[in-house]
Amino acid sequence: MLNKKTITGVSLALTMLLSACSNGANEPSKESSASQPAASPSADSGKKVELRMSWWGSDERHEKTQKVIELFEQKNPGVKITGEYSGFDGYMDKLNTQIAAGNAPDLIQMGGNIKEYVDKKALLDLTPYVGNVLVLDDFNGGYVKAATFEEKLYGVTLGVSSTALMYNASMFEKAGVPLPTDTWTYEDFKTSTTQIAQKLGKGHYGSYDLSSDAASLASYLGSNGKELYRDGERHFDSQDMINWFTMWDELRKAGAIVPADVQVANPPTAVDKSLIVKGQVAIQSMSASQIFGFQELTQDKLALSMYPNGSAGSGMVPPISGQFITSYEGTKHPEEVAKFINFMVNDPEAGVILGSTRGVPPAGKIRDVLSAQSTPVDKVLYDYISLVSDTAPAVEYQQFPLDNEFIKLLQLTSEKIAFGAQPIDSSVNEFMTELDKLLVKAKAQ
Amino acid sequence: MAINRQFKTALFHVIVLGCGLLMLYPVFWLISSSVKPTTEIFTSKGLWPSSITFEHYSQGWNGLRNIQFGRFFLNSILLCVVAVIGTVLSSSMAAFSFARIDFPLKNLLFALMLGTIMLPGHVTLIPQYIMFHEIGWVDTYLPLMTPKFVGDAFFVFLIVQFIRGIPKELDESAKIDGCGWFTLYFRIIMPLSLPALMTAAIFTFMGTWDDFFGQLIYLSDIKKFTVPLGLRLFLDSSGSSNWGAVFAMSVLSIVPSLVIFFLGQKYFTQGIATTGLKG
Amino acid sequence: MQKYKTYAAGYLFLLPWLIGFILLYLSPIIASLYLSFTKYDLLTAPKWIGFENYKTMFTDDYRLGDSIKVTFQYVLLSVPFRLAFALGLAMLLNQGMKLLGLYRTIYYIPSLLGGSVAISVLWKQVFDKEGIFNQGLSFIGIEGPNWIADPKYAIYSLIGLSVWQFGSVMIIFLAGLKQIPQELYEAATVDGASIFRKFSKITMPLLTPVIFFNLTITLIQSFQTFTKAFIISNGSGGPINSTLLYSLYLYIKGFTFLDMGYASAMAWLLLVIIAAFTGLLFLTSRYWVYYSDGRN
Repeated sequence: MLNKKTITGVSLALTMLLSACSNGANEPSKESSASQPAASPSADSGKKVELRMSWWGSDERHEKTQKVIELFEQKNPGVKITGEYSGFDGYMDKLNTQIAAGNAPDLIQMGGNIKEYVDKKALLDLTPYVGNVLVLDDFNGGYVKAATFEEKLYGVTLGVSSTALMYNASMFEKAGVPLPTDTWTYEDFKTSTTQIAQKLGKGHYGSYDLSSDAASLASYLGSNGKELYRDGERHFDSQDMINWFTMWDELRKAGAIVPADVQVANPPTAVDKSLIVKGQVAIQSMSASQIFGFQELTQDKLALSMYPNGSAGSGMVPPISGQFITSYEGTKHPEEVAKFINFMVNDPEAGVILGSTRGVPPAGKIRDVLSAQSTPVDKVLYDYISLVSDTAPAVEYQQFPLDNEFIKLLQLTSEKIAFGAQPIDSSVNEFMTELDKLLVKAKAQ
Repeated sequence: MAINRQFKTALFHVIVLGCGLLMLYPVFWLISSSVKPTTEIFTSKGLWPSSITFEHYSQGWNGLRNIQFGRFFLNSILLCVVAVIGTVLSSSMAAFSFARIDFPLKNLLFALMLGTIMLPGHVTLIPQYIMFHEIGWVDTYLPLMTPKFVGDAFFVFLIVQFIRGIPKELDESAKIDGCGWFTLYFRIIMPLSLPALMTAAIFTFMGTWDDFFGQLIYLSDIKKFTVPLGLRLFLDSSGSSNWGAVFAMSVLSIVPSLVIFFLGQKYFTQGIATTGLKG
Repeated sequence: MQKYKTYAAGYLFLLPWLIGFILLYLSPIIASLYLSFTKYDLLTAPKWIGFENYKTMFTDDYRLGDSIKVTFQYVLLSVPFRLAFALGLAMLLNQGMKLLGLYRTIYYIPSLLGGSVAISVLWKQVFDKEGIFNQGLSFIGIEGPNWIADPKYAIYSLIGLSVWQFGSVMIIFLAGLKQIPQELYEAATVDGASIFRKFSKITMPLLTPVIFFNLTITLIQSFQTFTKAFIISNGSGGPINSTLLYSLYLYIKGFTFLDMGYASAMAWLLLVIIAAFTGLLFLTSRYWVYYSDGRN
């Protein structure tokens, strides 16, 4: 719809020609959707409300989400929800294409980039339904705020998570190194990782190289009284970046962190290639709720820790909403959409089915039910989230605009240094130049 | 002399087979991983599994809610068969025209046709999607099938090259015998281009079988999913993946193309008897 | 009169393509050209910005330079190797020997895997630091690098992958070899021609249309290689842009950075580059490609 004009000028006539031939061919699909109301005359107007919902995830998440949809359909015979689901690869591509054509699903699972879609007016304002169809009384205010922009609510948190360091506790024990504490510092981090690498010998490392990890960098800056981004500006300078990369460079030279080529071959985010799972690396950075996938694949005990403290204390930000359920701005059935969202996050039965597949459920009631039947890994996650809530300074987290471009830039800079392709100071210079360009570009949008 | 010759033949077989097996190492690894216990897939170095399990196969086949993997196979096969028919028919017609008939603007049209495969598909995808959406074809197989019936530049070019390898005297003698263009196309040129047509058929089958992006964008209803889309249901790069099931279903997904190739190869590896026709 | 009948026949056979071209391809192509002059983020309507994208491409995009360099390296190495491999094996497997059907299938299997999701894992398994390839190298006393993860070598693992999947090119060669009339060889044998003479006087000239086809198509496809680079580098084009093939960068710009206008401009630059190379090939073809239909 949005750029219909682009095409229309060129091909309206052609399109009409095509649609003329399409009628016959299109029949089967029309028929199948038409046959449904006839089968179930119960709905008010005799016609079922049909919704589409898209999400990404593992096969486990597909299974659980479908169960919840079926449960909802049982309780609301007038609504039928078709799931459109897949792994994460291609999810955003497809969604963007659908939005471009005005054909996006009614219900959309969103990640941290929700603001971008709000800014582009692709998401529905849910505020009118709050308090009646959509009940959020049981939610921590922060989670509601996370999807609130200019006082309008655009999404509901599905799972709360926080950035974290995941560590392989068994490796710490084997090396006789004390486990990370809430108050550990970057000096402690250096000592621990170096010791682990030395004690466990060749092929073992204290940590992944986190110099390319945006969350780690943000926390580091925070712990030194700086900030990655706020209100259109960066709040750090090139000296901070030089310090950052120098710290990692020293660790690299000491053999405490994973060398560049090993890291590229076994990226920390890929569960299957993770060296933490193999017991070769002790620490990595990620979203806390991802611990499930990792723990499944190893006998070693995995645990979560906050990032180290710096001169200004902890640089953690309070737990954030990892994933949201949002609605497409063009949906024809906003009321049913809101109803389903409410069901997904508030219904105790649905809550039990979904468990922690998308992080810790935001509604306190559901959390209570779940924690009564939690597994040891659930407990690790729950404890960590409450620890961060209690410890983190009360700052409001602001995501870097053009986040994808920033992440790529940071990674490129980090790789240049790690592979020894370019010295730290000139790499940082280029980084700062490109970063400032990104900020200018973001403002212009 | 005879022994020498036998030795040479044996050596030939050993080398060709040896190199072939070496090239197949990754494929063996794939097959072996599909029957290894999950914890062993990425941790054990060897090809030979410590114990053989078929749970990945049953998991992959039956592990999805409300749908069996077999459905994806049927969908893919349907899509591929239609694609093959459409491509071979339309591409061979266009190729015949370009290779054998003189008409105005021929070279320009040929260049335009090649031009369509020079522009990266990622930038025409969105406009094309919008177009198919406007006519209500999204989430049907039509956006994936229809383009196959207009001819594919790659195959048109391929068949043109083969037709041009057929002596032109054939056309002349056929015309003297009173053949029209259609008879010439259907009775003479097409049979003689069989190797090229079979090649086009097999490539179309496999290309369609493999096309992830197009199918991802256009198909949403899980009941319409094809094999590449089905495989991604087990794979989540943002979280955990069920690699065992991915490998097991990947192994199965090679089978149809393999069978088609094995059966079809005699058509493009058998010489065509041009002699009989010439006389 | 006869002439017009011929014209009509020509267009009649071309009709499916012509209709399809106009209905299915033409408007998306024109749309992408239009978009290349706009700022278009997919989510909101495109905004006309004139030549801005093209200007940025030539003056202010440090990644584009890297990407073009990598792409040329890839094309220049993978095209000849792929063709040579495919032609050599096609000749080898084109003799009237037993088991050839099996061998052909064996050599074709890698291509069957195509861009399958399993490939990324398989390929890493082979070219890892401790992978089978380096184990082989260690037999002859060479300690191999991490082929996929080292920015100096990553492009070679990509080239290796493309050469490994030479099957489709081989099949086209095989089909081409089969089209050469056997009686030509028989006649040459009667004349007492050597194998090499037969090769250079019969096989080579008669195979030139197919060689020309494979060269042109492999070139076009290599310039556009996307899936291989995408799955090997997990979509990043790294390390340090070493596998950032042009199409991958274009995809990242268009779909990840949501700058479809810029991506469209990139696409048209690539079109010009490919068209130039293809045009050159067609121009030279009249000097070395031999067609049996007698028109060069």
